[in-house]
Amino acid sequence: MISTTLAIALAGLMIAQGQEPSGARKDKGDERITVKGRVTAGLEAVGEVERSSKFTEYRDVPRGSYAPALDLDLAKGDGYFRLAARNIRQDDQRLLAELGCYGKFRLAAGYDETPHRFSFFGATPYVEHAPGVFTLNDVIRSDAQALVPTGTSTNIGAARALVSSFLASAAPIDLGLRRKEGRLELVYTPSVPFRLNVSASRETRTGSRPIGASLGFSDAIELAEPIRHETTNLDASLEYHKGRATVRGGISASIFENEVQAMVWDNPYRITDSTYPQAYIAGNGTARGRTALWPSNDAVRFYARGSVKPAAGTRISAAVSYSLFDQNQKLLPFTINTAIPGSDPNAANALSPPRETAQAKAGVTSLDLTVSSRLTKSISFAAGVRYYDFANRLVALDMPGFALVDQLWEDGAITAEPYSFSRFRLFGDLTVRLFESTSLTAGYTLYNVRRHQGAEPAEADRTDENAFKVAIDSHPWDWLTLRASYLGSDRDWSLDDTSVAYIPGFNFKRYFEASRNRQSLSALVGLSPIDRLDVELTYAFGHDEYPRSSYGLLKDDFDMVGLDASYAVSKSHTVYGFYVHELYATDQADRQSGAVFSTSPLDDWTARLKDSVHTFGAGHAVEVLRGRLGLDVSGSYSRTHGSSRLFSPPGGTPDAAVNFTKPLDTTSWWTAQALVRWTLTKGLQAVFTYWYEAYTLADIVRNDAAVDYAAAGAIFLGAREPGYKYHVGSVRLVYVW
Amino acid sequence: MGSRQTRGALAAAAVGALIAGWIGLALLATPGPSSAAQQAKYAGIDECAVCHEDLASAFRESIHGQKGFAMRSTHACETCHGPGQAHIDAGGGKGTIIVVKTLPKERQSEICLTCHDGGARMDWAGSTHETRRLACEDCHSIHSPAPGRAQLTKPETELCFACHKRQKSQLFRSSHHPLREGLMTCSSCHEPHAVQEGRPVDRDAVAETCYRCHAQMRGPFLWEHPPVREDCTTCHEAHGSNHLKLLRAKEPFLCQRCHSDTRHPGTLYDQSQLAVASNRLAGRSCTNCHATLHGSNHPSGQMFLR
Repeated sequence: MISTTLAIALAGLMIAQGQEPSGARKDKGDERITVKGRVTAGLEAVGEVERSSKFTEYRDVPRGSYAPALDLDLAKGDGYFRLAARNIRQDDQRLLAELGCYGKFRLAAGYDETPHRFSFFGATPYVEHAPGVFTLNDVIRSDAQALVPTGTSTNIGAARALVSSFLASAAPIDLGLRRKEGRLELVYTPSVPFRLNVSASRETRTGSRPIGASLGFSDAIELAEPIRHETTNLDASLEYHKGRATVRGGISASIFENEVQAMVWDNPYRITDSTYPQAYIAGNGTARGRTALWPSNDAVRFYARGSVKPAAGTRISAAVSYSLFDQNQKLLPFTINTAIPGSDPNAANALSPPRETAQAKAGVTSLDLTVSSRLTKSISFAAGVRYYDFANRLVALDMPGFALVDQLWEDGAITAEPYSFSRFRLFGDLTVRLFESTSLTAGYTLYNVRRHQGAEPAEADRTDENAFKVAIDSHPWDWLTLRASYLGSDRDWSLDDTSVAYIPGFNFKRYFEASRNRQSLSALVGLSPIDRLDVELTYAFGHDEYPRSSYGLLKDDFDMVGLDASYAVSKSHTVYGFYVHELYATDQADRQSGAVFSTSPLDDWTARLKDSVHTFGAGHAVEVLRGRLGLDVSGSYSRTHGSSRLFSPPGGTPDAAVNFTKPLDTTSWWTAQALVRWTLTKGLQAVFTYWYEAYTLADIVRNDAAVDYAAAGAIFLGAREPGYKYHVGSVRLVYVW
Repeated sequence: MGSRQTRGALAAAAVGALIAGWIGLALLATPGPSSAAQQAKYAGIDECAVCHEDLASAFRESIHGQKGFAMRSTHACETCHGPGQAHIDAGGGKGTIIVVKTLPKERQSEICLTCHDGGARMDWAGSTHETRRLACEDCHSIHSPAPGRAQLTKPETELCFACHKRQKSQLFRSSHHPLREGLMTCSSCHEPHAVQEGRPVDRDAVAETCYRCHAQMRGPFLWEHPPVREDCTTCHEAHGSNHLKLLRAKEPFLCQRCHSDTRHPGTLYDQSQLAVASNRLAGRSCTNCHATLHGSNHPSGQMFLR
C-alpha cells in the first residue's frame, strides 16, 4: 500500500513537471497539451474505541498511507482526457477515465467498488462444503436424533440442550458483500442533429449475507447466503434533435446471473429423513432443508421518446416502451425430504419438480404523453396521461399440495398464477403568474390501479384516487422566498364492501390497496433579514387515514419542522447550522387467534409506533491567514427514538398487552470534524484532519443477537452491528498544477 | 378487447400519430439561415470582453467555451443574450440586450433548451421542478467552470437538499443508501429534469428503478408477493430508516399491517414474547422463516418459506 501510494504521487508529479503550465489561456488552435491535475497522498491513523462493522458499512477507512485522490486533465485543441480516481486501492475506490473531443464524442470508462459489511461478529456451526451446501457435525445430529423417538416430539428439550451446547464452538464468519462494477459509455455526435449513446456495464457481487433457513416453528436457522451475482446491462439509443423536435429511440438489455440458485443445509436434530404431522413444530423430521435462492433472469426493453414544440411556449412530449422480463430457470423438487413421498398419495412425486422450468415471463408496457403550454404571458398549463401495465405471463402451474418447510406434506390443490397490475394516471396543472415573481399552481390528478391474479376478472380489483393540489412559489423581494404546496386525495377501493380478508365481520384491509384519505403540506420560507445572513424555515406534514379499515394500518402520519441558517461573517468566514425535528406515528389494529379465527373483540390489540427524530448540525469555515491557512470545523448529530404503545383489552387473549421495557429501536449518530489547510507553496497544500464518529443502538432484539439466542432451539449467526466510537486523524499533501 | 387493452391501444395510437407528426414538424421546423442584416447586429465575444472581461474569460474556460458550443452557434455570448451591437452602440445598459436573469423562469430555461433539448430535458417543460419556478441557472453554472458534473454550482446532494429537507434528514438514519459515503447521489435514482406528476423517479415505475441495482428481485417468480411486485416503497423507505433494511416499520408490526391469519400472524408480540425469546421477534422476526418474501421460485414457496 505504501509503495502504491508513493508511486501514484510520484507519477502525478512527473506528469506535472513534464508539461506546460496550465496558467496560459488555452487556444483552440494551439497544438500544446495543457495539463491540469491534483494528486493527494497521506497518512491516516484510526483509533478504535468501540468496534463495529457499522462504521465501515459502505466505506473503507484505511490505516497507514493512502491515496485519496488523483485527478488529471489533459487538453489539446478540442480533445481532452480526464482521469478521476478516488480512494485508490481501497475497498470503496472509484475510477473514471474520459476521452473525448468536444462536440464529437465522449468515451468514458469507469470502475467502482462498493463494500457492504453486515457484521464483524457473526459465527456459525455450519461448514459450507460447496457453494450453498451447509453441513453440521454428524455426531451431534445423530446424538440429537437418538434422544427423540422418530415421529414424536418427546424429549425434544434435551435435544435442544445438546445442540445448544454445540453452538459454543461456532466458527467466526465474514458477513459482507463486495460490489465491483465496470462501465463503458460512448456518446458520439456524427453531426449536430444526431447523437448516439451506447453503454455497457458489468457488476459482480460476491460475499455472504444472513438469510433465514427455517425448518419449522421451533427450528429457526440463519445461514450465510452465498452471493455470487453478476449483472450485465447494455443500452444503445439514437437521438435526433433539430429545431423544434427531438426524437430518441433505443434498446436496452439486462441480464442477471446467479451462480448459486439453491441452498441446502443440515437439520441439527436429524441425520435421517422422517416425517410426521407435527414435525414442523418440534424441530424434527427432515435430515436436510433446501430452498431456492434468486433465479437468474433477463429483461430487454425497447423504447422511444420524443418532444416537439408546435408553437412558441408549447411542447408535447411522449414516451413509449415495451419490456420483456424473462425467468425460466429449472425448478427444484417440492422437497428434499425422502420420507415425504410415502406419507401421502398426493406426495408421490414430491421428490420431482412439478415441471422442468419456471416459464415465468412478463410484458411491461409504458406510455406517457404530456402537453405543456404557455397560454398567455401569465398562464401556463401542463397536462398528461400515463399508463403502465405489468402483464404477467407466467404459465399457471397446478400442484396437488406442497411440502411445508421440508418437514411434512400439506395436501390440497394449489395453483401458481400470474399476478398482473396496471396503473393509469391523468393529470392537469394550471399555473398563474400572479405577480412578477409569484406563481400559483392548482392541479388535479386521477390515478387508478387495476390488479388481478390468474382468472380473476381484470376490472374487479381496482383503486381510484382523486387528488387535488395547490402550490405557491414566490420570491417577491431579494430577502424573501416562499414555497408551499398542499395535496389532498381520496382513494377508493372497489372491493371495500365485498372483500373479506379473513372472516366476515372482521374488517381487515391491506393498506396498499385500501381506501385512504391523504393530506400533505410542505412549506419553505427563506429569509435574508440582513446582509449575508440566510435563514430557512421548513414545515411539512403528511397524514394518511384509512377510514374504511377497522383493522390493519389505520393511520400513518409524519410532521417535520426545520431551521437552517448561514452567516457570512466576512468573505473568508462563514458559519452555518441546521436543525430538523421529525415525528412519525402509525396506528394499526389486529386480532389474535388460535387454531380457529377468533370472533371476540376482546382478542383485539392495537399498536402505536413512533419514531421521533432530532437532527442538527453546525459548521464554521474561516481563512485564518488569507491564502495560507484555513480552518473548517463541523459536527452533526442525529437521534431517532423508536417507541411503541401496545394495548389489548383485558379478558381476551392476550389478556392485556405488556409493553416493552426497552426502546423499540433507538439510534444515535454523531460526528465531529476539524480540518486545517495550510498552503505551503503555490500548488502545494498540507491538510490536517481530525474526525470523531460515534453511533449507538438500543433495540429490543438487535443488541442481543447471538448464535444461540432464541430459547426455542434457533441457530442464528449472531450478526450484531453494535454501536461504535472511532477517532481518525490524517495528514495529507495535496499538489495541484 | 378488454377495457384495459382498449385504453392501451388508444394511447398507443395517439402516441404513434404524434410521432408521425413530429417528424413532419421537425422537417418544417428547420430554421433558415440568418440574413446579412441579422448578422450585422452581432458584435462578437471579443467586443463583449472589452467591458465584461472576467465573464468572457470564465466563459472561454467553461464547457460553453468549447467546440461543442461553436458547432451549434458561432455567436458565443450573443447566442443567449441576443445580438449585442445595439448594446455596444448605446454604451451598455440593461434595456439594450437580453438580461437572462430578468426573464421569467420558463423563458430562461427555453434559452438553454434551444441546445440542451435532448435526453431527459425533453421532459423539462411541464415537469414538477419547472412548474415550481426553477430554471437551469438555479443549479447549473452558465458562464464559469464549476467543479460539479454538468457545471453544477454545488455538490449535487447539497443542491437537492436546499429544498428537500426531509430527505436530507433521512440520510442520517442508521439504515441508508450510501449517499453520505459519497458512493451514490440523488441522480443515481432520480432524474431531476424529468420529475413529473406520478413519476418522481425517471423510470417507468419505482420498482424498475430499484432493479437497476437489485436485479435479483426482477423475477418474475413462480410465487409473487403482490405489494412487493407493485411498489418497493410499500415496505421500504429508500431515503433512510431507523429500521433494518430500510423498512418503514419494525417487524413483525410491518408485516402485521397486511397479515392477520390464525395462529402466529395475528399474535401480539410484546414484552412477554420477548421474555421467552420468541423467534418471531428475535433475529429478523418474520423473515427468519419467510426469507423469500420478495418472490419465490420454489414449488413449495407459496408462503415464502422456501
